[in-house]
Amino acid sequence: MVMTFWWVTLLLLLAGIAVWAITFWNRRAMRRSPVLVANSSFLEQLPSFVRAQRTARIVRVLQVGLAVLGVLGASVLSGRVATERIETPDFASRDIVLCLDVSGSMYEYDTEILQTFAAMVDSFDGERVALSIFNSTSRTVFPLTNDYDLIRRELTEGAEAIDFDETGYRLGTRDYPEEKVRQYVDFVEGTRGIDDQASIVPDGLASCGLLFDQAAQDRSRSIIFATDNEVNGEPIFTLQEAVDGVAARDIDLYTFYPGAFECTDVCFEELKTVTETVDGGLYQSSDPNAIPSIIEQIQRSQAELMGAEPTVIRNDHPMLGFVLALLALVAVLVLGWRNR
Amino acid sequence: MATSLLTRVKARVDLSTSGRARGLIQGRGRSLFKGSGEDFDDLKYYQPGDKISDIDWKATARSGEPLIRQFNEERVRHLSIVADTSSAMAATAADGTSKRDAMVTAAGLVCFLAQKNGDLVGLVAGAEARPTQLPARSSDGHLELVLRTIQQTTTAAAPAPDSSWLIERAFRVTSRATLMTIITDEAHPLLEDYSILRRLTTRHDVMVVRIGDADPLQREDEEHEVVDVNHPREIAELSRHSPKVARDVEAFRRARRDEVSAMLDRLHISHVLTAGDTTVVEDMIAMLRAREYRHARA
Repeated sequence: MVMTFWWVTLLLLLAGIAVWAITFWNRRAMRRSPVLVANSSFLEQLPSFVRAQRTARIVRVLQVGLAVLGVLGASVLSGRVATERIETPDFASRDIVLCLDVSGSMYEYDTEILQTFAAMVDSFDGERVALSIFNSTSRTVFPLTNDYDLIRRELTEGAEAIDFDETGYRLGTRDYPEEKVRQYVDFVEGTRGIDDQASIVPDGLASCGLLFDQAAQDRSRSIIFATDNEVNGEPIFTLQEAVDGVAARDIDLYTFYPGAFECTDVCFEELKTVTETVDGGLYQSSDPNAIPSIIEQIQRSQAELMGAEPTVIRNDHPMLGFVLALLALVAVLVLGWRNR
Repeated sequence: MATSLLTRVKARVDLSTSGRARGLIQGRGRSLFKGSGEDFDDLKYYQPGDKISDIDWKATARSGEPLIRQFNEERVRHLSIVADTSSAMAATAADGTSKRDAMVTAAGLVCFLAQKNGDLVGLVAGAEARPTQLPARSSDGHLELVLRTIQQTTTAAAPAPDSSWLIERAFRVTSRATLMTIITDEAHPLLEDYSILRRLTTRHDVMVVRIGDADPLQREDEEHEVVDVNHPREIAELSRHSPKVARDVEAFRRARRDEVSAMLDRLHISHVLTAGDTTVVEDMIAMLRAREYRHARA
């Protein structure tokens, strides 16, 4: 319980005391020139008079008490009594695009990312999520939406479908049931639009950047971009151009790098340098199980970035003071009227 | 003061009596003087205290009522004003004027009548702690002094009323037979003063002028507070406007007035209860007239 305008309360109380003091010290001067009478001592012998005097005294005490209550109520009311609560406002106005490289090398990480997000959907309230996958071309699995049933369903199905070791299947080291294969094929359908090319990372990222709508609204936009940056083909954009395009649209970039597959450090260095030019976050881990903690880190850094610092939430409680002041006022008026 | 109190009273008395004031005052002041003059004037009904030697036995036998001879005498009469100059008399009268003004007017009427006859007027006033007394004199200056003294002694700061002391005092300091005019208010003299008053009437002629008190509730006057001069306490608005309280107050005051009047009647003392300065002259003259013919009906 705190008082926002405690000094107003203080001022009002002081004013009340001052008014009382002035009238108290001047009570003789304020007495209207009295009518002098004599031989009225018998009044005290009249029961009706004694009763009337006692009633008048009680009424006066009541009036004074009520006036004090009224002043107190009004003072407390104007002091704005409030409870304070420290709260971190939910950063619900976020748009998150999951931008996943679905080349053969990434399947384990993609599965983890999708599973983690599927689990996080329950805690979302207003956030919008989109999923875009790319290999040589890009496919939007679902656009930005807050239909959480759909998101959960798509992410869960996606996580299941992408959990497919394509290289191992092709080499014959892994075997999957027919159903599983179809599911995988269906999921990655449209991501191999250009033959003999794979992992056109810059183009994939650029198309992810185009998924954001409502550009006029003040929303937080971020891309969780998972890739090993091993480009096999001729991209239209360079990676730098794609990243600049994303940054130009005010989109935060969180890049996840799982580790080298065939490429040397060159791929990672490029990814790192480019990400850093736009102040993006770069996370690296060769352990798929580290994904949830990385996503949590992304969440936290995003919270800081949005200024979602703990803020003091004030709840006014005007009811008590208001009711007290109102009732006291009404009672004083009624008593004063009755006393006429 | 521009005009003397006596002049002011005169103006009012002249208006109300149109010069017929002479002879209004009759009393023992006249009948007790030794050697009571030579000129036979009139027969007069015997009053307790009259000299038995003055009784005209023949006339008494004729009429069946005791009659005494009255002689026109050149000797002056003794008048005395016994004024209650307590704080209660500084309060408001029933008609809203000051009880003090009414008292001064009443005393002024007595002085005026005395002046016409050349009678001597003395004053007994004050309180036990501060007695005030003026000897019987007849000069205009003295009469003015009597009125001034009454006016100035009567203040709200004066002691509380003590009618027993005042009457006792009047009895003790007045040696000669005197026509006494006691001026006080509706609550006085007290019923306890019965014996001392009776003692007073054996030696003197006594008249009592009582000035009515203002209603202690002042129901019509909401603007002002009411303060009792001797008993300052606040009378709440609630009490002032309660019809029941008003009824009880009125009943009590009527009973008190009637009790005092009944006591004075029992003592055969002429008395009048007047509302205040506006009515005191008329009421006193009516009383004096009634007193003049007091025995005529008998």
